[in-house]
Amino acid sequence: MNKRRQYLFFITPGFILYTVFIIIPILYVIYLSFFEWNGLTEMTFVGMENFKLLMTDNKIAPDFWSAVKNNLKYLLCIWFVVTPLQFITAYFFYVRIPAFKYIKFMVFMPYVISTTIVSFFATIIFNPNIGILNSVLKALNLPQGSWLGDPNWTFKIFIMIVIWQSAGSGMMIFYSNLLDIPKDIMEACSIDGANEFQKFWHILLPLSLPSCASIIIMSTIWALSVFDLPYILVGSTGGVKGVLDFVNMVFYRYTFGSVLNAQSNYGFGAAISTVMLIVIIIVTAVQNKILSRFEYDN
Amino acid sequence: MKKKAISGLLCAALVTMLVGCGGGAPAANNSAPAETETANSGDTDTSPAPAEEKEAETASEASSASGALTIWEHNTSFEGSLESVVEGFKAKYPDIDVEYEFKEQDQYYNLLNIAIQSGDAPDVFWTNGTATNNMSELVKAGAVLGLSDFLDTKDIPENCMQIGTIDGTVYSVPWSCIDTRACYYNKDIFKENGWETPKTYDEFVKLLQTQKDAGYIPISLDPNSCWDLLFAYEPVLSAYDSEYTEGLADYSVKATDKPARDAMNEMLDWADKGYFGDNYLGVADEAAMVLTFTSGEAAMCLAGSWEANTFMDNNPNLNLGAFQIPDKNGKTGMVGTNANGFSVYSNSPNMDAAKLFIQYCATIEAQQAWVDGQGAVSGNPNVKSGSDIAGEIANADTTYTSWQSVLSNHVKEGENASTLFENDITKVFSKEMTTDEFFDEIEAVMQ
Amino acid sequence: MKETKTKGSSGQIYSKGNQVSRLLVSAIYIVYTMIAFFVLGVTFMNSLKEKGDLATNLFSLPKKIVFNSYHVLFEKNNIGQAFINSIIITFGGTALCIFMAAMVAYGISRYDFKGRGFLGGYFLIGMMVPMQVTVLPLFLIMQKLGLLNTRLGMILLYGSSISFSMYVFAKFFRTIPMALEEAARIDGASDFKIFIQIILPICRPVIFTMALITAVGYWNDFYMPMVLLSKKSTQTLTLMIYTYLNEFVRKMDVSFAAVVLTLLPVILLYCIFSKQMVQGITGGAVKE
Repeated sequence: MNKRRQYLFFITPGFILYTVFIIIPILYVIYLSFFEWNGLTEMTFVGMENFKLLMTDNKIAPDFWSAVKNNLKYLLCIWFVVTPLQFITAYFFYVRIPAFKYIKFMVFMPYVISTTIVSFFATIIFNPNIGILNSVLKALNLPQGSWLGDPNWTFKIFIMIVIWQSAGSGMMIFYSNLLDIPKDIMEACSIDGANEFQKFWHILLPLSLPSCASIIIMSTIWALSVFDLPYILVGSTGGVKGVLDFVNMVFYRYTFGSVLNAQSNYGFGAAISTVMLIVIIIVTAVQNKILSRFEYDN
Repeated sequence: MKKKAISGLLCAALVTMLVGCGGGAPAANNSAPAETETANSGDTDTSPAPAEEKEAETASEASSASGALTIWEHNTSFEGSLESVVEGFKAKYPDIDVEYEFKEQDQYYNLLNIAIQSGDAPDVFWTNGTATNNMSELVKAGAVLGLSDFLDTKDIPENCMQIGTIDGTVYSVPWSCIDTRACYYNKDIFKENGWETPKTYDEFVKLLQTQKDAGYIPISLDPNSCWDLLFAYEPVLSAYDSEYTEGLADYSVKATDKPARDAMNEMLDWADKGYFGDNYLGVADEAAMVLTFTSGEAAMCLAGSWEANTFMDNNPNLNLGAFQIPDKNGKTGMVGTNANGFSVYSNSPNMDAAKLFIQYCATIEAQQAWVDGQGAVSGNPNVKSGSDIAGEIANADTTYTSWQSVLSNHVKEGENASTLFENDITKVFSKEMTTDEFFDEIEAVMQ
Repeated sequence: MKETKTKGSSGQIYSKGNQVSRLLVSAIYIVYTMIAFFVLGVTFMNSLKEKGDLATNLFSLPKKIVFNSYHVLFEKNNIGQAFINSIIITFGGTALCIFMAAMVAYGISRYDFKGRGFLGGYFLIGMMVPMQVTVLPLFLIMQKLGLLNTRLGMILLYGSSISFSMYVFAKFFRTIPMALEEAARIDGASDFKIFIQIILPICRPVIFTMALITAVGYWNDFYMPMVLLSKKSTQTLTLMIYTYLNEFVRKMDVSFAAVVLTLLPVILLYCIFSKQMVQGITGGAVKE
């Protein structure tokens, strides 16, 4: 009896706050997705019409699916490029490479710079006409590029900026988890004559899998709901050939339009976010299942 | 432990320092005047229109009006203008508190709609008038006060008033500026190379090649924003075929006719020749476009008339000039749209103050202040253009209707051509779409 | 004592043969960190340039050093008030968020009850939807609760986005052995007392990391303040400078100065806290 009260005591305040400010707005958005509404006149119930439009309209559907594809591409990049990089970096801090304190400090630092500023710098650096990159290439007599305007480069540059700006937080979490691994295990290994690679592969990596799981789940969710950086980098249309067009940007385009020609259809926008929400929940659930198996193996 | 204490002290010191800096900023005194205003409203309500007429002589009577006003604007770039208009208003009515808020541009109408729905809307707010359907929707919902009964608009020309008028009733006071497009050029670069501003369209095209050969980027262009492309496309179109462009006014030509397509192809041809710079597709946004021009890399830039201020703000040392691209016979014209201003919320609790403000907006004084703040081209014979460069921009033989406005005014019922243009014009320049595909798609939804 | 032990253990773990490759790795990272210096350096430098100079030389040294931009910021804006608002909202929001997150995470990961798995998922949903999606309903709720244009409203809003921190805390709590609390419980301590006196001190490193990550996000956020705090008296610093950033090209010189002013406190705090973080982390590790 007493026990039961205790957990309620811990959860209730957070639950109320979270429900009011986070969950109710989301439920409201889902509710809206069954209506046609411009935000002002009466709402008209249209049932699944918005979803049908999204899936089948020959103008909107391709846009939407190409955006979904980009989200998945970004997700794969997070899994197979960014997360390993974060872990390896945390490992380097853990083995105390020379000047690691300084490096750790600097690697996390860009995290404190707001996305707006980072994007501004990106557009200035990669600007084909006045950017520093092309100026340097010109001085070296090398061929210059149009960078963010070149579909072969845009995505790569985007990933590089993501790593530079936001990989730091994951590194910190990996690092603090590595430090939690009992020192005596490591010492025992050294005495047994294990080399660096063996220690990394057989001890550090498996022991950090739990924290790996949480970081992967987090970054998956972020990858599927990415908005700020691509929006500021290439605008709401997703740049040349829509390389950086993500689902939330499609949502933004169709819901808010542009202020010069606002034709808001909040219901339709809500349908897009509802679909995305379902996708995220499914991906996260599947991932959770797979990752939790890893966790309990160790 | 010690370190903690020290950092704590530092924080405390920092905070006290800042409190000191902040000075006495009394935060909340908005509610009190609002109440006095409602108490007052009874006696001022009866005579709003005549009060305006006499107001110059009987300043003492008018200035006794009090209250609190909240104004919503959609873009911070109007801050300067709004500030000086409010200043002028406050000089007349010192007892009216005016607070203006700039809402996030992309969310502006959503927030406005929702504020109106919940019954707590700003007293005075901006819309784009008849240029978009937001104002008419708000009018339908009964949220906008009809101004015709008490507003005197004699100082604003008829053609300017159109944007604020629906079915003969005035719902907003437009500003006397004409939003137009221009070909800006760097006077210093022109002088150094002995170039003259072109007299005919052929001269203009020749100049592009000359500039390219001289190592400059002839035109700074941002191909990633539909609006920046539009503001370049429209002047090129009007110069490429002025007769066709004139026909847009009465819709005797279609927005998707051959000249419109050819002008677009001409620009694509310029792109291939490097007239926008070899890697121009990488110019990511308007800022990048502006900087390419102001830094002296590009000799010219096709952009909206309001950008004149942007250029000068960015680089005061820039020797800026502007002209309209002439057609093949040397005739020049500018593509213009009018700018809308403020409307009054129909259920405003501060109705008297709001009416006084909107009446003030319709005066020459306020119109001039707004135009000056924007450095804009004046569309009103009684209002001077805001800057020298605005005079150069307005130096044209005729005025054209905007190609884009045709898209919204002559579209089939229930279709939306503007959205197609917004989504797809960038694709034409990145060559995901051909010019014909783009125009065919628009043609299908046009009347 | 502590020092020697840490040093000693690291000496044992890594063989000397790797010294060269370790240096090499370091060198690569050091080159990489130069980007941050470059970006910050350029920002600072540009804040001291004259407008015309800035437009033509984005990446070179200033021809003449002027403090005009800072002057404009302090003269024209009530920057002190905005600073205080930012500090109140960031600190209040972060403290509330971290405390709520830790409580909820503790409740979920330490007690066994029906619907526990569901609750865990429930608290994750918040992360899946970006603010842009829910901004309109939020605006309505805030208005109905009378929290629009108030600092309290922002603090509550920030304090409610506990998903991420909650998740990290829950993972962390699972690594703490139950025995710790059981011993205290036998001594007759209440659950809340155990949480405050035993559990929270153990998670100091996690708290620091999470608080830092959260606070930085709130400090830099301009989107929600733009929508929910548009009265001048409650404006945050970021919102104030956003008006400059919004027109970066027009007010470039002031924008750079504004960026410097917002970055300065964050970096300063980062310097202070990062030291404590490292101490907390290594301290915790040695104690084990």
